[in-house]
Amino acid sequence: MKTLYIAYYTTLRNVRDYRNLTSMLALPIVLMLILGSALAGTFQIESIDPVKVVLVNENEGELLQNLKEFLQQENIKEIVDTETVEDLDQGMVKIKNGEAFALVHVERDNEGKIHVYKRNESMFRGSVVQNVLDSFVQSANAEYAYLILGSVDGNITPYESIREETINPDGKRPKGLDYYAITMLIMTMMYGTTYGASSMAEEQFYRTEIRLKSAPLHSYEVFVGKVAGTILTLVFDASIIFIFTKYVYDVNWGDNILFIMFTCFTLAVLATSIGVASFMLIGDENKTQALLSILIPVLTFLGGGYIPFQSMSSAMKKLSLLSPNYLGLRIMLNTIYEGSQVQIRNYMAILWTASLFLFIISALRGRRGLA
Amino acid sequence: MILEVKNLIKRYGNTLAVDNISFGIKEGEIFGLLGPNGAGKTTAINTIIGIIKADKGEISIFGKDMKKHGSEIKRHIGIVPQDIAIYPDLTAYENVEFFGRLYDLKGSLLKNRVEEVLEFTGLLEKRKQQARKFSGGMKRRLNIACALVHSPRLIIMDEPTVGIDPQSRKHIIESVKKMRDEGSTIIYTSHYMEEVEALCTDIAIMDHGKIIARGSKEELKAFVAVEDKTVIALDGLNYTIVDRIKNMDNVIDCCVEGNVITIISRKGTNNLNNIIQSIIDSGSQIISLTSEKPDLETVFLTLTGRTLRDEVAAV
Repeated sequence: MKTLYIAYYTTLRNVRDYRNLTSMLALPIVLMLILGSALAGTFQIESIDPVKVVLVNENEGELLQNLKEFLQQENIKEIVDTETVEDLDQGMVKIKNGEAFALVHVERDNEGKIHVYKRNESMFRGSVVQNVLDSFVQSANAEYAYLILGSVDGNITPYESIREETINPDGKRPKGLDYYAITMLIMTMMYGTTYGASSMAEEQFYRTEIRLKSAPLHSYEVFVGKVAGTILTLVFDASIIFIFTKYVYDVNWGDNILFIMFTCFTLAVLATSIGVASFMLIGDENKTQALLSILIPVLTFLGGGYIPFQSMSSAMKKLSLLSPNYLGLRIMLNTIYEGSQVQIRNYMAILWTASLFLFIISALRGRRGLA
Repeated sequence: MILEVKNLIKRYGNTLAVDNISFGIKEGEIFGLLGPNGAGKTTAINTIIGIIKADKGEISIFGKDMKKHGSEIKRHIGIVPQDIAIYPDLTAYENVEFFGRLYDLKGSLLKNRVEEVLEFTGLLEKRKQQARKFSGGMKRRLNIACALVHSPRLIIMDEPTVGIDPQSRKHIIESVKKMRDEGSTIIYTSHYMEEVEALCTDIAIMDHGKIIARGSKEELKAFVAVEDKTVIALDGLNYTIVDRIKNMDNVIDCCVEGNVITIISRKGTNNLNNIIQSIIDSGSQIISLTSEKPDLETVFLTLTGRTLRDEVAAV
């Protein structure tokens, strides 16, 4: 019961800190409007006719033959229209002239390497070509692995490695504002790390630590109460942003509102755990706040918060996987636009595992501190 | 005894913050704990109430061992910390209510107690105001209210009147007397000797982690009654005079504050003529001269080698 009171009064104090609350809410609401308007073009719906691809046919190797067969399958032909040319130069001319969008070249001397050249004009079409070739390579690798392991079933159809997911049901696709409403909401949640750090530091700051320690309370009751209060504050912040963007900006949050709020709750738990663990490990609130104020914009950037993920280089895309913002973004996009359920489950598991790990570290550090 | 401490030791590395102290406090008395900064008062208090773990020693409160019954004992202790320990974003009512809830108060009992202590500290009319808008004196009073909400049997007040206006100080002193009259036992530390003289029936003086003197006001004064105290106000004070007086036979200590010299001499020395002559020789003029009976200030000065005003200035 005392834990609940600590949680309630922690939330009350956070919400009464009007200056901090205003900046927590106003910043994302303004930013999503600016970014959503400025980068609206990035989110224009493109034609999804088959993408024109040129395949250089200068190699009689087994890999090229398999690739040709793969690209000629009916299901693949629906999304990629392949034209064969005799040499690389001829193919390059077609790319330069805009007659094809991408060129696929299997190296003559090294059958393991497939080069892809794409025009820069469309992220969407580029990703279609990349995904088709990735599927082919994955299937080939799987086949090779079966042979090495001596498995009975070494006969894999490359098409089997393509996982079918519904995209854009009913023609829905995020507009700029829809996208940035999500990323800015996630950014706000991650700025909640500062609440997490403050919740642990404030008893020292207000000198109330001595009262809590001299009261008939267990230290875990204080810890859990303050963590719960911080999470409640962040869920409150998320609800305000959610309601404002839904009814003022007309943002599409999909039909599964409960799951969106659960995702916000998950991110609030993670942000609190990051803030608490940072303070526990650093031990100084000012240094912790300084670190978090640098870390959060970086995580937001890596998570596609300012520039859409698709526009990033492949190296940046790999780094994005380290950003909780990215995981949160994928969960929300998959929820709203009925994407991969597997990805939702996996990313959700990662976020909860990370939170649990950070809370355990904080608790252990806290116990050492008390000792 | 409501509180008994035996051979309490607390170390920080090589520093002995509390050095084997033992004392007891009777129920219903106000126990004054005096000492210079860094004497170990706050460490001793924090160790006694279980905020800091003792290295050695036994603490018994309400007849129960603190180690075994800490949680139960804490229910009946109220602490008024030296630093104001309140939440500025909460109202006066909410602050007191919050700390009341930590002691399992609820419902009408909680409501009544919150209102009682706010009235007791003169803050009932300001109960809906956020603490951040309070003056220093009002914050100090709220600091006290938060410690009293659960009706503690033992109240520990660590410098409760530091840095406040005379009106608030008077209010707090009257409140402490009222609490004593209602049967509470109080441990009171202060830099203001007149507060300790006015309130405390039993006084301990701590220095370097040890209790160096203990007794009632009268006992402590008698303890230093082997000394005379002479206070001389001068015009045109020549500082070499201080060293000259200090080096005189039978002078224990001599200190200067502004244009006033305070001299502690052995009782019955009759060296006043020599002192006056030295001052005249130094070219200073005597404006006034008083010979005082020992007070607690004198006791403190004698035992610790410092005046309490030095301590206040150092805060």
